[in-house]
Amino acid sequence: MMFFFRATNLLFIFFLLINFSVIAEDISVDVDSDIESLISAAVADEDVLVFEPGTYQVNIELNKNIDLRARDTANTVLESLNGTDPVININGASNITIQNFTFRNNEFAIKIFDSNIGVNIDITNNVFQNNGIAIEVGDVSKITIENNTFFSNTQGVDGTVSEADIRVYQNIFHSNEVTFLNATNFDISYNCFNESVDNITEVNNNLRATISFVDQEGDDFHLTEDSGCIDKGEAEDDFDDTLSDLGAYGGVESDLVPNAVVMNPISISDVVDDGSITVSWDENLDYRIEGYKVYYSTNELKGLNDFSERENLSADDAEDKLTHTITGLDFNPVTPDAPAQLTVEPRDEKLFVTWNKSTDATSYTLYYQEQGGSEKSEALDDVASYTITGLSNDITYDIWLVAHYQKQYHFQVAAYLASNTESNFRESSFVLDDATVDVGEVANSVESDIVAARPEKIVAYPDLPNEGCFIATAAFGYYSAHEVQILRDFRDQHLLTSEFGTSFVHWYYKHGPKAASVINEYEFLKSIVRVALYPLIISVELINISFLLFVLILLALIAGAVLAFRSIANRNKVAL
Amino acid sequence: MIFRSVVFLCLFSAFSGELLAENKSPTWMFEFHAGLFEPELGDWEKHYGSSKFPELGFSVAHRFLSVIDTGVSIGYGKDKGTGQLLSNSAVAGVVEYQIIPIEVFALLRGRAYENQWLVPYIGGGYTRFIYRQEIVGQSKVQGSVNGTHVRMGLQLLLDALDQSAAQRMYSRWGVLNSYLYFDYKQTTAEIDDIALGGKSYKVGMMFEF
Repeated sequence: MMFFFRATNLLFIFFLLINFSVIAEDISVDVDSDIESLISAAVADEDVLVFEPGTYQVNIELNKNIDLRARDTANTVLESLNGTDPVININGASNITIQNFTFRNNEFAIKIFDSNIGVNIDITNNVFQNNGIAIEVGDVSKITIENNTFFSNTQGVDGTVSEADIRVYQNIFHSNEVTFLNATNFDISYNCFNESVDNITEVNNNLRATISFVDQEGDDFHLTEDSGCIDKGEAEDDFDDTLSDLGAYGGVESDLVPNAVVMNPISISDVVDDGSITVSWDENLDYRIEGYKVYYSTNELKGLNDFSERENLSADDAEDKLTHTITGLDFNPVTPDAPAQLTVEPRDEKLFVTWNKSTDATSYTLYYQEQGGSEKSEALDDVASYTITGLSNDITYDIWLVAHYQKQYHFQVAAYLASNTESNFRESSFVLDDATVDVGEVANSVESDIVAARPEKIVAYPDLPNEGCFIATAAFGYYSAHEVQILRDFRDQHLLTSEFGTSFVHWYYKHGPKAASVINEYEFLKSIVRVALYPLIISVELINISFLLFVLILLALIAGAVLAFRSIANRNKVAL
Repeated sequence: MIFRSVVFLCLFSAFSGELLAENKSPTWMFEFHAGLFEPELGDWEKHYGSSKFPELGFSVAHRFLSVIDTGVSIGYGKDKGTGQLLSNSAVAGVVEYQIIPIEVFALLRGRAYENQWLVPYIGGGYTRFIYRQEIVGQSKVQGSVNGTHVRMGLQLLLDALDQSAAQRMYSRWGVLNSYLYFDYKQTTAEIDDIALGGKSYKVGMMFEF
């Protein structure tokens, strides 16, 4: 019985493994992914690399049958890593789809070259903007270029081998220097052009029309209401059951993600004491937008750019309006607890203060006061430590904290499409603007306990000697003194770069420590050496800044001295 | 059972090693190691939380007379702890301590025959002990001092454990023998009456070319 049980278990695991091994997988790609490794690991003819929004600098060598897709065309930008090679070079792969990307500012966007028969490549729903050559097609069997937007490229599609079977279908071509090159055997139909292309624009349902993008300068190639490329395709659009729109955002597989809405800052007048806040935003001119949804929370919303992360937020449907007032908000502050566990550690002319964060605190004020002196304060964000600088060693300071609470509301506005359904992709943009406003009074905690502490020099363990500028260190008291640093810079930048200077440094390293130990022993010597070193330090600092400036000042001083000497000599002569 | 396995492994190693031998004597060695450095200073644990800190490094050596390796080694170790107040020596502040021991060494290896699976060694040499110390937010010091070191250890020949891997190492990289070794080292270096040396316990890989 036990044997049977184990055998069935093993059989089940075996079948599970087999099943897992044949299930096609969406492999998520983000800007930090090693795309080459992901392609190597992917299963050909099954897996899909799905790119998250972001700007990718890549040169992808695609020699395996893997689909590359993005979730958000406008915000998934591909740029050539080395600036010259194609962003995607398809060589030796077939039956693949490149979909929902923006190729911007590349010498080559996509290059396809393969002498194998049976090659079948779909390039759909992409934006090609400001590229040298958008698509160069070599010796392939079949390629479909469908529902792309070609804007301001030097060359649109270049078919270098005339035997290729290339279908150019439902695209938009706008402001390209050369739309097609070597296009003898291209099947070009249902495309939209903003200018006349010889022997093409008037046949096979191609049309010349006013294209009208939402904001071509702002890289938004969605279509506005008055675009002549809406519902001009051949196939039916499953977005609104009309004919397909042309360009990157038309066809049956466009991403349906509206671009971001730009929010206006919220002013004081938008916040009303009865718990109301008015938010407003710029209109998204994408003709498919039906309305806007306003999300709000007392928590930070930055980074919540995916719909799934906004699911638990409060939201109001603003319909098609560009302003919306949210009412019934709670502006009452919460009084935070006093900061606890205040500890102060001495440092050299500093005090390092730490504390436990107070519940509900959004900021702190740190107070410190020299005993018998005046009170000073530092306004701090929601932190748990701070270093007070500019203090004097051997003076005792009192330190204490007060926590503050300031209620804030954060807002995001997402556009949604006319065909808003349960699908998240139709709901809103991935990259949203964020507006924040302070509401209500600031609530303060009671003061924390007062801690007294004195700044003091720290000695390392073990207390090792420094092979730096011994005499200056001894004279100025510590290694990190500004004056000592100037001399170190001079050593590194000028002395150690010449043979003579290096010899001097070696000599100094041999004899300097002896002089330093004498200076350390007799306190009065420190002042004398400091005064003696200042002309050297000033000269060295001038040389560090500019050798020419140093020479000019030196010449001016010599000239001044000569003139003064002459003047005195003349006066003495006259007196005689 | 374990004892018998070890004896079998030793015999197997000793004899099967002959199969790999190609009558080529290695002349160059490359090794890398990692381990712990235990400073001599008594209060190290009080300030740094542990009496030891990690150290790693590598060395290159040339072999003379089949049993003497002479070479150069560079190591690096880092620890983070606290300093003390000038007035009362109370623990305070944050101190980062780094060492770079550079060594010139000679080792005598107790190798009696080709492909001996366990090779003891002993040696020593000169150490230039470079240190760098930062009191975070206050100052940095750095310097170096001369010193010496002695070391001993045991090298375990790995080739016999996986002959095909050993053959690949030879055909691809020219590695004649690979060893896993365990090393103990005592470094002596002093500056201003402060002992910078200590004990090192390391494990490493050595490749003979």
